[in-house]
Amino acid sequence: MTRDEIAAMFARRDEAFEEMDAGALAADYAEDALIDSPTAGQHRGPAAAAHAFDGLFHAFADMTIRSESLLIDGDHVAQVLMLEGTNLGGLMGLPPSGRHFRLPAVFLYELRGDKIVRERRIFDFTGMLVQIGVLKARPA
Amino acid sequence: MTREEIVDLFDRRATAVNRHDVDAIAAVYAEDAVVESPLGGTHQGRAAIRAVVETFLAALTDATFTEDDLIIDGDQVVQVLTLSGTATGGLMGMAPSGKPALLPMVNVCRVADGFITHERRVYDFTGMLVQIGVLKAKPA
Repeated sequence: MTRDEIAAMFARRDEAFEEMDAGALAADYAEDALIDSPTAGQHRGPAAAAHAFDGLFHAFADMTIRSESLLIDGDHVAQVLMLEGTNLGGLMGLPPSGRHFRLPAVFLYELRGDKIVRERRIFDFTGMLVQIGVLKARPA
Repeated sequence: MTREEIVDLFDRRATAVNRHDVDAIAAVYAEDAVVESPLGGTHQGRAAIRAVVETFLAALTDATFTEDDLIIDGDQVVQVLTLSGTATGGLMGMAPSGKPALLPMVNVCRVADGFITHERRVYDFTGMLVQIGVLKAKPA
């Protein structure tokens, strides 16, 4: 893919995130794509990706993902984001807490052709669980 | 900066970090560089950057950082690392636990004239504090 094509793909993904369109987001993954997600664990392929996005959008029905910058380096892409949402749907078998989280994140992608073959999402996942009330943390 | 100059800058930093050479680490930053770090908050200037790095490395005295990826796009750089270390030095007033930490980290940087001018460190900081025994976390 050219740089412009990659930029267009991620602009489209930003819109799909905004619309919480799990199917559109999942369609960008190759059948053998490997995704490392703190919220959904490691999973493979578009069907698993769609399931994970559905779970995320159910847990955080007001979730927003604000893309701050997009770095494109050949087939490698880094998206620097601000994630924000409220635990309105429950997570990890726990009832909704109604609590809000906001934190910076970096999503790392590797592309092959016009598909994502590898994705890693890096952010303060444990801090997010504390912010939304799934975990309680105290000094040891 | 050219791509080669940027790669060289980050190679020098990687060497300095793995030697725990805080002066050499501080020297890769511009005099007025700004760093946003979960441990040190937003801080500016080489002296402040050096102090935060020194605190971190004093807590995990055997810390090693393996570079997994370096994504370069113009003057923006995303460095993907794996941190491995043991809490042998204490942190935030807590005694050393001797517990290990292993986690991915991302540094989102901007570079100019041979130096890092801005850096945001993104990682599961709260999870690291739990791993090394500074915090205890339990289901809410």
